[in-house]
Amino acid sequence: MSLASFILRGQGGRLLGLRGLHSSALAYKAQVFGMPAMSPTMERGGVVEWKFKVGDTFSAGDVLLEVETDKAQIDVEAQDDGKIASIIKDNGSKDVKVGEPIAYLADIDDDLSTLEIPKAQPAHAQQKSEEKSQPKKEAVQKAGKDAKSSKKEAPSNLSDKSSSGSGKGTSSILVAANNSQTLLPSVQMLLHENGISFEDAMNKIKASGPNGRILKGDVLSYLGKISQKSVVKVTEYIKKGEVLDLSNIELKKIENTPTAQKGKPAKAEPIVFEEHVRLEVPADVSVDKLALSLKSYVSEANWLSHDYQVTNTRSQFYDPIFEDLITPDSKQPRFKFKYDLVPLSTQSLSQGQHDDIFDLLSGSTPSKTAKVEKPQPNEFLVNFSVEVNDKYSDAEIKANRFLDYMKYLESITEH
Amino acid sequence: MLRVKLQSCASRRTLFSTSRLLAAKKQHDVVIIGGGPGGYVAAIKAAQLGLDTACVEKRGKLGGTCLNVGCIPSKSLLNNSHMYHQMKHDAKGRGIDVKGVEINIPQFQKAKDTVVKQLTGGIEMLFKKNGVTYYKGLGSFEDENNVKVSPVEGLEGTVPEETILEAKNIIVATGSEVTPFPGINIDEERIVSSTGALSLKEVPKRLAVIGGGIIGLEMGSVYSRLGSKVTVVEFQPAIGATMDGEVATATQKFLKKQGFDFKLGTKVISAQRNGDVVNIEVENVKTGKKESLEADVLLVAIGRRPYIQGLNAEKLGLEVDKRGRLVIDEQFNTKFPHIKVIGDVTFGPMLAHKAEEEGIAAVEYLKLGHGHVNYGNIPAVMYSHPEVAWVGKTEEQLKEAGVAYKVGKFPFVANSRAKTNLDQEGFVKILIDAETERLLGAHIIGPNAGEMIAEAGLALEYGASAEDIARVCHAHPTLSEAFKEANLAAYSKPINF
Repeated sequence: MSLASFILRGQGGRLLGLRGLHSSALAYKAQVFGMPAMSPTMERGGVVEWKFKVGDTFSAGDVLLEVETDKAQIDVEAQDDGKIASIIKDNGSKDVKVGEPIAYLADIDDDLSTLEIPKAQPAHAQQKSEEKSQPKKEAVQKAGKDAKSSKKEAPSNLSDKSSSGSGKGTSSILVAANNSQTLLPSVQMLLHENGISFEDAMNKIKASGPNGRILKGDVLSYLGKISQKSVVKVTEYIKKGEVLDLSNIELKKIENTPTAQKGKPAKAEPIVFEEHVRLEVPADVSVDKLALSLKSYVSEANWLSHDYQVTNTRSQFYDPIFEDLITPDSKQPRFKFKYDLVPLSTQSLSQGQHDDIFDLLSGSTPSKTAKVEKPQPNEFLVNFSVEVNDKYSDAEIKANRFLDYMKYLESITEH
Repeated sequence: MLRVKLQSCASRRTLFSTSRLLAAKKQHDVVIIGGGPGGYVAAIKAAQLGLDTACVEKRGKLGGTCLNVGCIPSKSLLNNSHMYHQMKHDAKGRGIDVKGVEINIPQFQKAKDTVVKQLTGGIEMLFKKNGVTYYKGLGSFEDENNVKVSPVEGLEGTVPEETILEAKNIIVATGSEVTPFPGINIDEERIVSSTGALSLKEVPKRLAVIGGGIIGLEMGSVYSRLGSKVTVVEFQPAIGATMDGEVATATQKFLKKQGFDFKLGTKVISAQRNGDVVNIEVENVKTGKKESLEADVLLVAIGRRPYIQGLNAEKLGLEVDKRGRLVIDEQFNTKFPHIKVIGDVTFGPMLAHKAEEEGIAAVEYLKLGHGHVNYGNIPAVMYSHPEVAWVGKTEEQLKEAGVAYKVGKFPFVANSRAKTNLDQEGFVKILIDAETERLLGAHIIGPNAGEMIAEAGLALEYGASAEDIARVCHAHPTLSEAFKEANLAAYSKPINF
């Protein structure tokens, strides 16, 4: 019966871990067991029969009692082990409000003679007093602007010695730790590694987490490993995002106009790039020779353009292996290209000695072929047309890379 | 379970909807206008807190856009189209020979309608169970304390006459409607909104979608799997609305692989139906290059806008901002402290789960004086395959705010469960504060990302650091291990990658 177990747990505010560390009045107190709500509509119920007597211990799964509603009689099971400390509503009690205490429960090893039974009080009052004991809960959950009030409300059951540690320049966004918290694993590790006891942590470490929770960053800052400023900064940033931004509301005056789309940096996605490269070729270079070396240059440029991964321009945390794994078909061509070589002016063409287009264009002739008179260079126009394969997000970048190689040709010539 | 309950209460329904509503004046502690995810949740919560609660809804079915023409029916189509696609294209490779796989559109639609019917009926039952009075009719402000419910013609079970509800508190939850595209006439046949796209009678050969947001991409996915050639035209240079940039790029990549065609940075100039085809003129924003597209169906999915038609809000002088949203303060109050507004009709992301949170919080403010919605922790999910889900900050937001951060990523290709499922596209990306290592955002592309994002939400709510998540034992072999490993990667090093 999950409902019942929920109630048992929900009211068992005592945490096992906490108990060992805090042997204060808080610890040896019986837990109020209220009339369980067996259905969302149930308002009142009756106790048919308790299956355990005061002092009896019970285990998880045992039927504690039978409850009757206007519709049915239902068994209430316990999920946690425990002991009946006291029964308030005896067998046959009727018309008990949901939440109204019907018994007090204790832990199995509690001594009932020393156990403190809280004064009977209606369920909602009980709740309120619980809330009062943790006033920060509300305060911290409110937006940053309420941070001041949370400071004022800092609970009295927390230590006054909280100024030690890295307490300099304490911001109101950091509050005293809530000492009824279960520690986060990272915090637990850090405290253990640095020999800080739970009490010391609660007393000395300022908390930036919700509900006075000590976070990893708080311990790191307490240990001086990071600055408290960075804790304050990220906490303030997060708090700002927790509330709706209701600033700068522009009220509508006349008729409603549908909103235009929001502005983001524009990036076009053309399908075909055209590029025209003008080449000045020394007169002693034949067209065939030029075409051949151009072809090998272009195919090498194509290979190079494809070979290097496009780094993720958005992130400085680029990881080539990761990119490789999530980029499918890295071998697929990202673009198709065509080009044609158009002679603009041609003079008599002779055989050249170079195979490499850089040498061809720059005219950096090996010394043995040095000529005294240099004839007018020939001019060629190379028209490139690159069709981007838009199936791939990196295609455009790679196509541009390819075109950059082509433009580079021109710069050699100009040189 | 649900079905049994539905049947058991069906007999009482008639009694409930007629006899009590005959009187022309009624009093309630709270009247909620609108029975969508925000309104119905607020109504149930208010009733549970002991308030005499009424909910007014003119659609005739509870659940609002989400349940009737939004999240729920689209998920039915998405799930079933995915199964079809898998049987047709994926089963063979897994050693399952399935012959004669055909799509049966009428049955495909019926499966969706059945789910919607069951779920809307389920809410009506929840109203009864919790004692919420349900008025079927159009709710409008008579004055600041009275809501008029008018009968809706042809609606079964509508209020028999105009009824005035005197309310101590009023919550407006009227939601949103499809934003029309200026100049494009939506006929819900060939030129459709998301509503029409949910009930196409046949699979279009060519589907054009205006808008690369979540709705457009989800509906595009459905018909792409059923065989449509889908072209998405988006004005922005990226798809996915508020997605993290890297995730949006990766999303575009996998959708392209599935056959989507994208025209980004492209605006639509006009769209016209000519018989059985739709002709669309588009223009590249940057180059000005014009292009004509032809499609069998055009889906207009450029967003939604607040809906206050017929509410008579202007009579009370309720403030409306330039985008048509009712203006509220941080406790959802309008200029009248007893009139609150929640959900799509006011500020914040237009998401069902955001409206639900606000519904609960608004009622708690009424009753307890304090409510809680963490707007920094509202997840978003796109139900493509793989799914895309995120919560918290994106890299772009962190950069803009000047927050120093670290990134941890883990690809599903390195996750054993994803691998064995032959479903390994995507990755988990974790953003943490560089110094405190507190979790700032989580972004997931992957199978069941929408389920996995819940873990990130829990961690964010409690201020967990990446280490806290990584130190939690995750079952093996599960996809959730990828989430753990990405956190490990963020503050230290992953084990399996």
